[in-house]
Amino acid sequence: MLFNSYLFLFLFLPVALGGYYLLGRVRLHWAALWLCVASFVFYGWWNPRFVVLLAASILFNHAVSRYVLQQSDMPRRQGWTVAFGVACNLALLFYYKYFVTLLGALQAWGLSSDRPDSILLPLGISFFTFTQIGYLLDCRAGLVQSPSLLKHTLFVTFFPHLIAGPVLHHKEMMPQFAEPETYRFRADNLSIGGTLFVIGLAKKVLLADGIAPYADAGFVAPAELQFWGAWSTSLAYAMQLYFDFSGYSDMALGLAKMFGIRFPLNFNSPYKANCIIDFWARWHMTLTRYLTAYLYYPLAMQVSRWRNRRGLPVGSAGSRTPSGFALMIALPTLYTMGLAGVWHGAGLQFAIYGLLHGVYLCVNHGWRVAFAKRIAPRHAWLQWCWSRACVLLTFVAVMAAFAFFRASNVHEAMALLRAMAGLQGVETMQWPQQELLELGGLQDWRLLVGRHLLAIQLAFLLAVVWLAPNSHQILGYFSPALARVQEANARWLRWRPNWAWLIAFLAVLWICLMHLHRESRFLYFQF
Amino acid sequence: MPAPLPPPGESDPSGHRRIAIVVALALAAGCAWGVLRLSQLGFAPSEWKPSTWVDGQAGKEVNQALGTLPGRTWTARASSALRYRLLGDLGEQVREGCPGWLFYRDGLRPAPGFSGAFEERLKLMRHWARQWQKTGIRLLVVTVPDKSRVEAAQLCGLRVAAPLPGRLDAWQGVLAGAGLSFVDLRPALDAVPQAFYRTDVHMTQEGAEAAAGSAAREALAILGGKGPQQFTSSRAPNAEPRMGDLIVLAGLEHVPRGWRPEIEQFVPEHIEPVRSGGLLDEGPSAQVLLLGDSNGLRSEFAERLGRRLGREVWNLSQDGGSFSAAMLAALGRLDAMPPSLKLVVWQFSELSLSLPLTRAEQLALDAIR
Repeated sequence: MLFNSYLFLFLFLPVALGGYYLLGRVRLHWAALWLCVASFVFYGWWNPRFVVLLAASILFNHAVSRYVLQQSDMPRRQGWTVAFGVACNLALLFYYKYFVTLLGALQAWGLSSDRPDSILLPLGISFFTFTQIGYLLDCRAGLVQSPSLLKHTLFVTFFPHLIAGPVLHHKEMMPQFAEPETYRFRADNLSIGGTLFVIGLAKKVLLADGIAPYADAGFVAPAELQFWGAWSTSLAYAMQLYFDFSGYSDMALGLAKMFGIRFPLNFNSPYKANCIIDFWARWHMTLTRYLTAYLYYPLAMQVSRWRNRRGLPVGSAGSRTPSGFALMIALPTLYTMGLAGVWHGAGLQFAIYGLLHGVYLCVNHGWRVAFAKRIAPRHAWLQWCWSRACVLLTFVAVMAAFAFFRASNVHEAMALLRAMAGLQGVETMQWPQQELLELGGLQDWRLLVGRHLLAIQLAFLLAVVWLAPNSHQILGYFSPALARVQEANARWLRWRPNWAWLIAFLAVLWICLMHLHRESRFLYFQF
Repeated sequence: MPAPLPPPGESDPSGHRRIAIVVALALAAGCAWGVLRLSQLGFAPSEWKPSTWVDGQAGKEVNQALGTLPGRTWTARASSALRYRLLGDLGEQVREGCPGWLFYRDGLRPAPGFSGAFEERLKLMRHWARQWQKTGIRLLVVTVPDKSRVEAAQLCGLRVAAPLPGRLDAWQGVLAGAGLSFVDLRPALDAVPQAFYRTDVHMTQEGAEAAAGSAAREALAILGGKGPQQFTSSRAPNAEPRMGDLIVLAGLEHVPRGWRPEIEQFVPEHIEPVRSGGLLDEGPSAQVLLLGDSNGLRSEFAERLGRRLGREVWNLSQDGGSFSAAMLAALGRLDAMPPSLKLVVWQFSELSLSLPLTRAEQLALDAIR
């Protein structure tokens, strides 16, 4: 079921929310159970067969987690149990996400004669598998105190995050599920959650879906694109992806808040980032946090210990030496980002996407170590120009990497990049077209605008991402996100529970409802 | 983790209550609407099968039923009119060339998912041609060039995407290489002052006449000469307004004049075979079968072709038939084709060559692999 569907808004949400608060008045366990059942219905609506898979995954991981907790005094055995659990989760993920691609590759190399049949990817498998791997690792780290099947199920299946995140940590959710106050109706849950949900809905329905046809059209045949076409395609996709995914995240956070639960922030104006390190601290933040905690740090720690044992410098002193930089920063970064790329899908293009970002991050870290302090501009106006140039450079680097993220294969991604570099030619600009100029008057204006709608839309969306506060800055103090963000500078853009914002809420909701018939899936559902 | 507290004086419990009541009322109203629409939804027993729920079809229908909100049509219409009037925006599927000249976007750029579709259609075409060949019935392929090609002077700077201009030549080149009969309609349509309607994707009456003449020349060579069937034609006394399908597609069909491109005038024409008048007069058995898309059903193309051939044309063209709907339907009953049948005229639009394969085409392709 999609958040942006009439079925969800008119039937699922009212029934799930009403049942939750009614049962919460009677018994907290019933409300939690109700939410689990509702989440399974939400998931099963897409394909009922995969409910069994989800349930089996939860039962398996719960059993493993109990076993892990029982063996807290036997670390070695505990370690092997966790490794077994993680391996099983990864095997499940591998089977659904990579097996067909692997068979295809083997066939292409002449190592297999079987033609692989496609395997339907269960929705959200990457997210619920990662959530549970994190849970097992937390069990081993002693962060889980009392395992409960109901709460574990609720933690995994809670429908606002089930399909496409945010990626949650056990430790930030379980206390909330255990808190009786969570199940009690509060007006601010509904007002704040509802407002954030509608903001997210508008991002998806009005902004992302509005620009999507242009991105789709450009990626149909990147080899045929020329300079301007390639840039507008790339920009259109960058806007589509941002408003689609951040819209989904806002909806998820808003829905969770309506049920009295607070989620971590997942987007914080990533296109305003002034370097790639900053970008990853703002883009899909919960995934970055997950990868940092479970992939980057463990390897970086191993390397540091190894260097320590050999009497080599560690920390910032170590990273200033070439070998220290290579081992302590470049290696864990490339390893983490390579896996992050592959997590997004089978195919060389995803690995390149991840590794490219890994390289960006290494360059960024290297710059910080070697040049940042020496080259920093001193005058205020130079600092302003420098910071804008950094934002622009970061944005362009991100767009270049998105070519691999979106294209069907490496060949098409390279074609898009070639076109962006002008190697496939540059369109002759006719501005305004002679034929149209001859018409004159209002008709001339309308036709000219009609011809350049994409440019107008892109300019508008860029203004939104670069100049406007994001949804959590608008909500400011009322933002339900676990991490606080700076409130919007302009006072009139700060949300308050007053009539003006209520009218704006109703108007945006109405416009969204009128456009909802173009129901479209979220981009991140494919992962 | 505790929630960040609002600064003193900023938190307004009554404000939250007010918004919460509105949100709750909106949810309750939505739920009531959902229940009402569900109660009105008449599912056929066949649609209650588990498979229709598993494949998502039933869910889609339920969602569509819930989405027929009161006022949605009016809003959509007003929004389309406003977007056209202020921004010259005709929606995702239509673009305006010179003032009043509308073009279908799929004719200007390839549709998403088209990759490989051209090559796969070549495979289908070869396979189907062999199937007709086995029955002894000749196949004549008539590809209607895209409006953007024939009426290129009316594009006023609208671009046609790079892979499309070479598409028709590539297709006809393969047909020629395979030894199949085909008709290149370009010279005939280029010679007509206006071969396509201004606000429609279809050929005008003059365009259809020119296309039928061109196709008939090739067909007569196959059939061995003109048949005896006579036709009569009559024209309406006055021109009538004609709502172009591209205006409909842009959602501007029911908006006032001035808020949409000007609609065209045309004089309806009716062409029919002359019957001998006998009680059991059913006409001669069909010798020519037309398997076309909507062009085969517009501007009396089939009747014009029949008139040129001196034979009544058995027309199985389908609206929205695209490349192969009519062909697949006919192949499904190949054994039941009348023995009198000598020629199949397979007509489709050039733009359908670069659309993604339909599900039926994909199944047909899988079957021959």
